[in-house]
Amino acid sequence: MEIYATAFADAIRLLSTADATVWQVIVLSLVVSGSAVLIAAVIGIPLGYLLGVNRRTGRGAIMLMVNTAMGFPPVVIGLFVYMALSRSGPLGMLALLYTPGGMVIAQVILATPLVLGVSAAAVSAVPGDLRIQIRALGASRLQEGLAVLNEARGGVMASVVAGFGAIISEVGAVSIVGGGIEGSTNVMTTAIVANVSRGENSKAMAWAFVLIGIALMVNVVLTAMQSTSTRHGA
Amino acid sequence: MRHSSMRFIRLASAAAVIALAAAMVVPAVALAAVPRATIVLSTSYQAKAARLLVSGHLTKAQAGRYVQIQIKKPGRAYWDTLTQQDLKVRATSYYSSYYTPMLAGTFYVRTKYTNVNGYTYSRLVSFRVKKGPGVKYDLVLQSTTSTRDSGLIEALLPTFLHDCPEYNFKGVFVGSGTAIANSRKGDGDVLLAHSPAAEILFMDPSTATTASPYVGFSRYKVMYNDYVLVGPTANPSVITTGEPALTAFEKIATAGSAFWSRNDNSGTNAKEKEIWALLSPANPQIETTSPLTYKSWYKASGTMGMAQALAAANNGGGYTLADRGTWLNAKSLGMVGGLKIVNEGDSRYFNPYNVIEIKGARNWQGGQDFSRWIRSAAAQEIIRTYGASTFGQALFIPDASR
Repeated sequence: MEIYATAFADAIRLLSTADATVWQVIVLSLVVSGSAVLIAAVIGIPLGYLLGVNRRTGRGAIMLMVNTAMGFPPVVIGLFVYMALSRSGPLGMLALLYTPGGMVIAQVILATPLVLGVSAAAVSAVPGDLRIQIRALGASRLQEGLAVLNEARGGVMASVVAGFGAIISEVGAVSIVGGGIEGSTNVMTTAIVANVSRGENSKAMAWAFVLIGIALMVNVVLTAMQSTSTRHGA
Repeated sequence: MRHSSMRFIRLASAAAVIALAAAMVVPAVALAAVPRATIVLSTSYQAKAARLLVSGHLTKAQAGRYVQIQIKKPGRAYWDTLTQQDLKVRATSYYSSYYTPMLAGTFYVRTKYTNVNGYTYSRLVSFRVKKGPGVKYDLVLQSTTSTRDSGLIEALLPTFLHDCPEYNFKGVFVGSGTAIANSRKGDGDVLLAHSPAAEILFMDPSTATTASPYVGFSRYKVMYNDYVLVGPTANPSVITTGEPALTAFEKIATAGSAFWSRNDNSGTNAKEKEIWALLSPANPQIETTSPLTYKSWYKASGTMGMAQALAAANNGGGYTLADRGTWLNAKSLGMVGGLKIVNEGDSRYFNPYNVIEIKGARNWQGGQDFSRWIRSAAAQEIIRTYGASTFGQALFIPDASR
């Protein structure tokens, strides 16, 4: 028990002594995962809506593929992105390896199936009568889509929360694609791995507490937004 | 008829204007290379760093031979090369290359070419860049974990960035084997490793494949230290410090004591496998591609960093091979209370570090600068004194030679 207590104390001390490197790592983690989940939301929510409302025959197969993609190991995605962005790979000329941009790409690929799948499930739970009713009132396709998403906003927000939670805590993809370079691509999870490999276990535990704390804070905010919106809603 | 000829004249004049504009956009720095010419310093001034065409003339007799254009960047005391590999003089006795200055300041350029007496230099030409490119160029160093975990790179970095400020230094610290594999794929500009056999293979151009087309360009010694065999304080295999490494390893194999292997193609892993391979066939761990045929006392599951291997040996009461730097660091952190050095000093434990420039790397100029800098007197002095105050002994011994 004592190691956890000392690690917790180390975490507080890490944040309070707060040299620039600590804040730089935290800010980079939030920026990379935040932008990745935003891009994943922009791609995944419309596609999730389309998947959720359509009852055509191919839907089951597509849902199966999306569910498989959701469970894909992050380190495998990281490996594929690394091979693509490597200089001897197809996208090598973009020079995105060992940069935060490459890490965002890997995390977008990770988060999009999650956002897509959960949004699709939320949208398909909206009763079909609602769509018929809205269309009968003369709504365009876009207005109908927005109304259905509004009804399903609890689940759609939950998909964004799930996506963010998945990518801020993963380490395989960002460490392979980003390299964990101190000063440019070091995020909280790669900092933990680097400290453990150096034998600085208490410092790694401090980072772990910081990560848990930040993930908790972000999820509290997102869940509050989710509950207020459903409260003001139906 | 007149219509088409008018169009032709219009096209021709447009082409002439474009050619003139292009000639102004790509300014040229000319080198005369006739040895008997008077040396005249002509300066040409560039408002901002842009792509320059550096060209020169030699005699027709030199056509087909190779020359090296040397450039001295502002703030440097040594000559770099303009291109990574020597340029070929064309049949017209003309040679040229494009160059992008990464700094502002005055550059000096000369050509080194062969003549009857060996080699000689052309006249010196200089040009001044008033304004730099405004960005830093990424310099990716592929290196081993021991250079980072011992704190050496952190100690060297401020001086390097002060001497070569145009680079944005990115150090990727993985095992030597992984660093070499990454460099083969072109993801590194310079390599600092301590796995001699793998490095020699990397320098061999015939080992390039379509998936891994990059090989090493030049390889220089930087520093060395040694490995130590550490084991439990109780020392069940009864190894003495003075005996040869092979005897020590043989005792471990005979007694079947636990031995922890990093299993990650790092330099340390390569060294211990090399020693195992030298033992008589009756005893060593069976080294095949299938890990299931390892003996039960040889713990090689997963990949472990050096500190993790030491922690495992500490907890599990086994032996492992460590480099002295990481061992001293781990001891100072208090993680290896149950271990002590059981064998050291054998010449087999020699651990040399080499810096390798990569042929065709994206930022080969940065690689060349880093390779030259780490062998310079200033860097070697930092290496020589590093760790003396914290650990009581210097962790690395500088060994640079040109």
